[in-house]
Order: sequence, then C-alpha cells, then structure tokens
Amino acid sequence: MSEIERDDDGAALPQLAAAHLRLEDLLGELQERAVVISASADRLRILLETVLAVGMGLDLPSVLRAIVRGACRLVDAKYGALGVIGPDGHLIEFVTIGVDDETRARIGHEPEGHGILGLLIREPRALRLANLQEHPDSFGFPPNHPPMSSFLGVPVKVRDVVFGNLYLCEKEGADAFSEVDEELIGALAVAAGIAIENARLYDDGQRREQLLTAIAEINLGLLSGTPVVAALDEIATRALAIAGADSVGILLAEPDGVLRVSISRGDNADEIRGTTLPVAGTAAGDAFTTGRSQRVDDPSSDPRVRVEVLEGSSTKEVIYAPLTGQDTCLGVIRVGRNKGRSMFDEREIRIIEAFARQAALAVELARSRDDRDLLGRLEDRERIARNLHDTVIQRLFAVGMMLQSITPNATRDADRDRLVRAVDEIDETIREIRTSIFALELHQHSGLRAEVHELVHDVVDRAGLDARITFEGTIDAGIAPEVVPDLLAVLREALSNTVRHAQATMVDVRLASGDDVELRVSDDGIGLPDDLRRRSGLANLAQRAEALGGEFRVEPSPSGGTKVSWRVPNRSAYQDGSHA
Amino acid sequence: MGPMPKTRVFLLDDHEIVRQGLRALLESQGDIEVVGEAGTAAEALARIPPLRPDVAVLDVRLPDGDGVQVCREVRAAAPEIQCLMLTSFADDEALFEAIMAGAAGYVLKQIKGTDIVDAIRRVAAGESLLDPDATKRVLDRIRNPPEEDERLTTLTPQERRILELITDGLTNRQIAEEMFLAEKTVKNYVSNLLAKLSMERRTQAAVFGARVLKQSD
Repeated sequence: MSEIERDDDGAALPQLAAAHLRLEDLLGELQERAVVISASADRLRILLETVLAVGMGLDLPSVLRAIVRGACRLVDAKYGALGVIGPDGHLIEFVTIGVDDETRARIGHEPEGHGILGLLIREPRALRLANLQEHPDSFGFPPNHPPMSSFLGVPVKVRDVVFGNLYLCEKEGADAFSEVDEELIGALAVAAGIAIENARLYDDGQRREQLLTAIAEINLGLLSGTPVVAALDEIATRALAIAGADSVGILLAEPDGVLRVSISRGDNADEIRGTTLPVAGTAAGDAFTTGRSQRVDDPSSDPRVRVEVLEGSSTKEVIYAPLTGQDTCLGVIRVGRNKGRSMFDEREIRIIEAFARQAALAVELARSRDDRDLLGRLEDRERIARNLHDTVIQRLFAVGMMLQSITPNATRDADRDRLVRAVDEIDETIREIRTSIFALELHQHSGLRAEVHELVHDVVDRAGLDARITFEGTIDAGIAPEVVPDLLAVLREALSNTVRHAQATMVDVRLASGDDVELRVSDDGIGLPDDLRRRSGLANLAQRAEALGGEFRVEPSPSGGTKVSWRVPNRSAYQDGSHA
Repeated sequence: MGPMPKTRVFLLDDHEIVRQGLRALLESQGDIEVVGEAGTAAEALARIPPLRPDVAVLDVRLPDGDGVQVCREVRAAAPEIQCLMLTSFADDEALFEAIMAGAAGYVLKQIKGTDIVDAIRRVAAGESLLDPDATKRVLDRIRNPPEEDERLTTLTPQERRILELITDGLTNRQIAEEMFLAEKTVKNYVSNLLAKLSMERRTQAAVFGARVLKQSD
C-alpha cells in the first residue's frame, strides 16, 4: 500500500497543447531516416500509410492495434505485439497480432515482462535477434506457444518516457529482420508515440469534459435540494464511469469512530453496502486520518483492506481518497478496479479526488442545511416558550385570581362549586403549560426533570403513545439524590410495562416533591397481567420502597388502565429534621 | 386594644390584569393592605423604599429588567423589607431565582397549591420559605457545576468565544471577520474545539453552546 504523492497543488490534467509541435520533429526524423536507409519507395509508402492511419485514431485501444498491424505489414512479420509498461515496470497490457484467440487461450496468461521482453524494459533500445531462444536472457516459451525465432523489439516513447515496446517475430521470407526493418520500425515507433499521446490527450479532454458536466449537474442538484443520499449516489455512479472503475463506495465517518459504506456502486455493490470498518489499521482509515489518497495494489493479500473487498472478488487495485470537509474529514471514497485491466493512472486518480471533493461538499451542504434547520427549530421553540410564559400563563393566572376572589360572593352552592372547579382547571392548565415550556427548552436543561423527560419520551415515543408529564415542587434541587436511582428504575419499569402489555394510547406521569417523593404513572390501557405484579423487578422495588418507609403499588386505575404509585420519604429532608 | 395593624404589601408585575387580580384577592382577606403597585423595575425601585411596605411581591420577568435585581437593590437599601418572588416558571427555576435575589421565598403563579396569602403572612412574620435542603443543593450546584460545564472550562477564552459564534450560527469566514483572524486559523480553532468537546460536528457544538453558554450567562 502506498500514499499517493502530490508535488503540485493538484491543478490540472495535462494540457491539450504542444502535441502538434511534435509533428515537425516526426517529419524531420522520418526525413533523416529516409536518407540513411535505402528502403524501397514501396516500403516508404507503407510506412507513410501506417503513420497516417495510426495518427488519425483517437481511441487508444484502436490506435494501439493499428500500430501493431502496421508494424507487421511494414516488415513482413508474422507476429506483432505492443506491451504497455505499468508503474511497477511490468507489462500491464499486451496487444497482439497474428496469434488467434484460440491459441492465446491455450497459452494461458499473458507475458508479464520477463526474459527478452524484460531486457527491453530494462534497456529501452532496439534489439534485433536471428534466434530469440539463443539469447542468454531468454526464458523460453510457455507450452502451446507458437514457435518464434527471428525477433525485433523497439521501445515506444511518449514524451521521452517509455510507454511500452513494439515486438515483432518471424520475418516472412527471410531468416531474420534486417537493419532496414529496424530503421523503419524505429520511425514507426516515433509516430506511434505521438499518436498514443494524442489519443491520451483526447481521452483526457473527453473525461475532463464529462467530469465538469457531472460536477455541474451534481452541484445544481445539491443547490435545488437533492437529498444527500441521492447526490452521493450520483457521485458514485459518475465516478464509476468517468474514472473507469469497476466498483465505487462512499464511506462516511460515524460518531463511534467507524467508517460505514453508505453508498456502493458497481461490483458486489449490494453485499458491501452498509458494512463498517474501523479507522485504525485500515487503508481507508489512513486516507481518512492523513487526508491523503492511498493506493492498495494487492487488496486480496493486504490486511489493511477489510470487508469492503469481498473474498474471491476480482478487485485488483483500490484507491482511497479522503472527503475533506471544512473542519474535519468526513469520510473516504473508495474506487476499485478489477484484474485484467491497467492500473489507475495519475489522471484517473485526480478524477477520483475531484469526486471526493464533490462528495465532501454534498455532505457538508446537507449537514449545514440540517444544522440550520435544527438551530431554527430550537429558536422557534424558545420563542414559543417565551410567548407561553410571558403571555398565556399571565392571563390564565389573572383570570384564575379574579374567579378566586369572587368565589366567596357566590350565594348558591352550585355556583361556588363551579367556580372552584374552574379555578382547579386553570391551575392544571398552568401546570401543563409550564411542563410544555420546560419540554420546549429541554435542550438548555440538565438535571432530574430533563432526565425524566428524556426517559419518558425515549420509551413512549417509539411505541407511538402520548405522554403527559407534570412536576410538582422543586425536582432538580428538591429531591434527595439518594432516592433518584430507585425513582428512575420505577419509572422505567412502569413505562415499559405499559408499552408492552397495556395496549394504552396515553401515559400520564406525575412527579411530586415535598416531604415525600411521589411518582404516579397511569395509563388508559387494558390493565396488566396478574403475574406481572409479582415479577422480581417490581417486587424488588416494592421491598426497597417499604424498607425506606414508603410504598409501591400497582393497581387498576378507577378510570380503567393501570396506576403505578411509588412514594418514599424525601430522605435527606427526613433525616436532618429541619424541614417544617 | 385597637385593631391589628394590617400587613402592608407592594405589588410589582408588568401585567395589570395580574396586579388587579392579586389586589382583589389580598384585600379581600381583611388583614392585608396593598400600599402601592408598579409595572416596571424602574418604577418599583423609585416607589418601594419610600413606601416601606412589609412585603414586596416581585414578578421575576419584567420588560425593563428582572425582579431578582429589584429585590437585591431593595434589600440593600432597606433590609427590613421582605421580598417574595412571583414567578410563572417551575419550582426549580423559582427557587434558584429567589436564592440569587436574597428573597424570603417565592410564589408560583398558580391560584391554589401555592397560597400567596399564607406566604405573605409568614414572610411578614420574619419566616423564610426556602427549604434548607433544596437551597443547599442549589448552592452546591452553583459551586460545583455539572460535568458538562466542566467541558466548557477546558476551552481557552478564544475557543469559548468561537463556540459562542458557532452557536450564533456563524460560518468560519464570518467568525474570521468577527475576530480579525485568518479563516484557516479559525478552522484550526474549530477543529481543536470539537476535539476537546469530543464532538464531530458543528451542530453538536452549537447545541451544546446553546445549552451551557445560556445556562452560565
């Protein structure tokens, strides 16, 4: 595995320039060689035709085939091949002419660049042999390989870097290739180098255009509110096509320090999706923590590549590029390529990195949208809470007091009773509003009340029940810390019984603090099974309550449903005796 | 023996309807006389000391300030005036405010349950209504803030300021402008801050900030 080095600011794919200038070099070279060689006009014509044919192609694979076909024709070779050298000095592609598919299949694997082929890779200059097998570097042929003896090999350079070698075997009508053959193939190799470069530049241009189009479309989608998952899926799909990959995954960092494959496209997409891998000890984790792209070129044997490459998969190479966000790294994009294909080159890695930046942008945009929504909601809540407090409660209180003050004046008993009931209703309403205010501002609170709220909503919301919570007296400061663990245990037990057995639609939780701490949990369900009341958890809590001088009862409530009531002395208040 | 002198009460609440209701309730008792009213903190501070009521009933939230401050100033000028805080918050907040104000007690805005008439009589007789255990716990909490506030103390003043700005919803660029820093510097501060709070995201920090910064204000 290796980190992918960057010596510039990651600016651009190679410029589409200077290619045409090299044509003059080519013409000069051909002229020079034409003078030196005394080739027949006929063969020069073939050379020129081949150069033209090769030069007109724009698609790299067809250019390579045209080169080999032209070379065979130029020097009357029975077999021809062009081997492309990879970054590690081995042949990564082998384009052949003269060997049919059946023969090729019988030979088995393609040459990797040992023996004579390796010699040419190590020493890139023309090599002409009458008998291939007699050379000291010869490795011999694998079984089922057609016999070859005369040999001519010439390096093909692109911008002074050896791209590969042109190999020709079995001169027809002669025992060996001639010096003239070597000159002609040398000239063709120069033209081939230029054609390859042109094809590459054309390919770069194409891909760059696809990349820009893809990014523009993705950005447009993001700005018009495409959900982040859809945006990432689109990014993965485009990366798959434009980087020429066989599989693409987008791994996002989760709060507990793992990377989860959130998006998966290409080979084994469904099996890989949703799996997680640790940051420590993985290549993905290295890209995540260092912020630099990583390459793994033998994933099946590299322990730093985990579940995301399945056993027996044909993935040969994986690139991990970080999703670098504004404050932190957000995750990693993982791009794999299968066996039998060339490795990702510099330009493809840049494309992958461009998609990684795009994915980071999509995630950040979605998160900042969520952030704004959340903060907006919190502000709304605070505003509503303020309004309830400053207006609604004040008015209810004032009305309640007016009713209270006229109650003694009511002459009829029935009227007095109604006034008293009205005041009670108002008080209950004020208490509920106060609970609502607290719930609205819950994010600002810590302490027992907040804990009760969270516990109740945690259990009840998931079950789809409504909950009503009321507090009486000082709770956070007023309840002795010693009774809190039992209090929460009773509450949890009561709530989960309601959720599991009661078939209720609403739960009423009331917690009061004074000389005693009193908790009441009632529901509107069908009641609890008898054996439940004797269950050890409940029995244990009942015993503890009694030991403290309190009580714990589970009983049918008068209005149907179940009522759990738990009461214990507010212990520290009880003990020091100063409480009136 | 002449009639018992009435308990003289002053009312401060910005809702006139509340003052009217309270006045009607208190004066119907016979032994309580409302000697003055105010709707703002400034009016209250001007009127209470010369009137010398036995008990001042002070609403906590006021348009031009808060009852806590009024209570402190009244008690500083005339310690013999007893104060009762009147609040529509829950008991826990009310208790906290009463302690901070140096009041003798608090009454929730609730018609039954908390008997304001009884509270006024007891306070006028020199009794404190604050439960000593609960008061002690509140004071302990102020002295030993909960764990979450401790995370705040790990931040440098600079990081704390940045947390405030994140809570206000500013971007790194806006924070940079606000604090005359390079955007890159802000980015570093934010990363450190998130690491110290063991958080991953700005929102978490913003929600945390909304909670602890407001609490400790």
